[in-house]
Amino acid sequence: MNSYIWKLRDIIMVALLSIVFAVIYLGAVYFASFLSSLLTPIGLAMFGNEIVFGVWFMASTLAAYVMQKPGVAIVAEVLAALIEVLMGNMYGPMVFVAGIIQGVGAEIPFALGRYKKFNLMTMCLAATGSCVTSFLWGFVRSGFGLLSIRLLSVMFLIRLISSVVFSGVICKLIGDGLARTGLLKSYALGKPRG
Amino acid sequence: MSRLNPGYKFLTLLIASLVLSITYNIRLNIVVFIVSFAATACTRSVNKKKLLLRLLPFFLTAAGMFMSGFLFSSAGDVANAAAAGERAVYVTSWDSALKLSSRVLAFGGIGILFALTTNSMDFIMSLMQQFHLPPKFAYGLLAAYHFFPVVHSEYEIVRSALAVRGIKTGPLSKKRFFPMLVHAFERSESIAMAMESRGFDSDAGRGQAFPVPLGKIDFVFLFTVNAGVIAGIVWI
Repeated sequence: MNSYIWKLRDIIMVALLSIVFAVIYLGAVYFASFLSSLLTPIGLAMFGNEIVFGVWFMASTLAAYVMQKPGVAIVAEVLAALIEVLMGNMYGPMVFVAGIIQGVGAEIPFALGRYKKFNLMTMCLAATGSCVTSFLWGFVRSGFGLLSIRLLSVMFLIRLISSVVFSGVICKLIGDGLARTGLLKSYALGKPRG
Repeated sequence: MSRLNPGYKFLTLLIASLVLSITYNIRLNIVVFIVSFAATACTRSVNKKKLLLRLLPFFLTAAGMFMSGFLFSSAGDVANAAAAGERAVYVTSWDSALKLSSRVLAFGGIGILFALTTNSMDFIMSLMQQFHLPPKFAYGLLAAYHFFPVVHSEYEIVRSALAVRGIKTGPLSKKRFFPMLVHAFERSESIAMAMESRGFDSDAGRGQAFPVPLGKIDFVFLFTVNAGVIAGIVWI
């Protein structure tokens, strides 16, 4: 962890963001599990979870958008994963690994833009990055390789839409909204451009 | 279980999970689940009712995975399969279904073992003392973590506040979480300021108010669990 970039305030900020999104996720997960239970008999239970999958990446892309520094997406995702573990997430240690892998996915597009480009496009690419790496991780962790390509492609599509909508578009809008409130003056996003 | 060093317990279970994820051994997965469940149930501090309640989501997820594996296995789905010779494919989709669902149970068992036998505070202290997590990350995380109940009630409060004004919101509505995020930013500012004004300095040398011991038993646990899993892959 590049410690010098992270002030205590930033760490608490990211951790609190993760908690807010965790609460939102919890709110959505009831709906998602209800949907999953309904879809179980036709073998599509995973779709319930895929719809809200994008919420998992929100803390990381939003933190990266606000702070606009190298490594933020990865560290934020790892912090979010640690918060999940603290809250007693039912997959404990595996969530931590997933956090690192998703964080790397989000980090790549920002790194390719040399941490200068933070716009709707890079945000959506970061969301896509997380989506892709998390899906690849699904092959290792959940054994996606045993499922048919047809099912997997629909799953991927749903996860992609969810990621881009939540972690790309909505996070961008939230970030801009927060910047307008004047709360972000001490962060890169809140500084006047030019 | 609750007396093990939390950081090393985490590492142990992490390695065990990763080793498990390279195999599709159904029997081993089930053994892992049963052993984890038994170990959790035998830990004195664990609330037995809570344990049973926590198992429910795994069985739901496992059932979901089972049906997905059964109906949409990569070996060809059931409908196509019927033409190709019912009996052979029937076996493969059963097989994928069991592989997928038993894996959910194995990881679930490991996850629950960690979650129910570990104190969050000790876990973070252990990460700081044994794994060199910088103090600002450790205490920053803890400070934020303790806001969970506040944030949780805030979610309901914002919903009601909007409802009073006649605005109906879904669980994922932006209107609903924007105020919460504003609070998160305000709070992070003031918590950090409060901590620093009381003399919190991450880089200064510090004593340990809550020492988390690391003993031989933690290494024994690390080696036996993982040797057990590897042995399981080879022999079960």
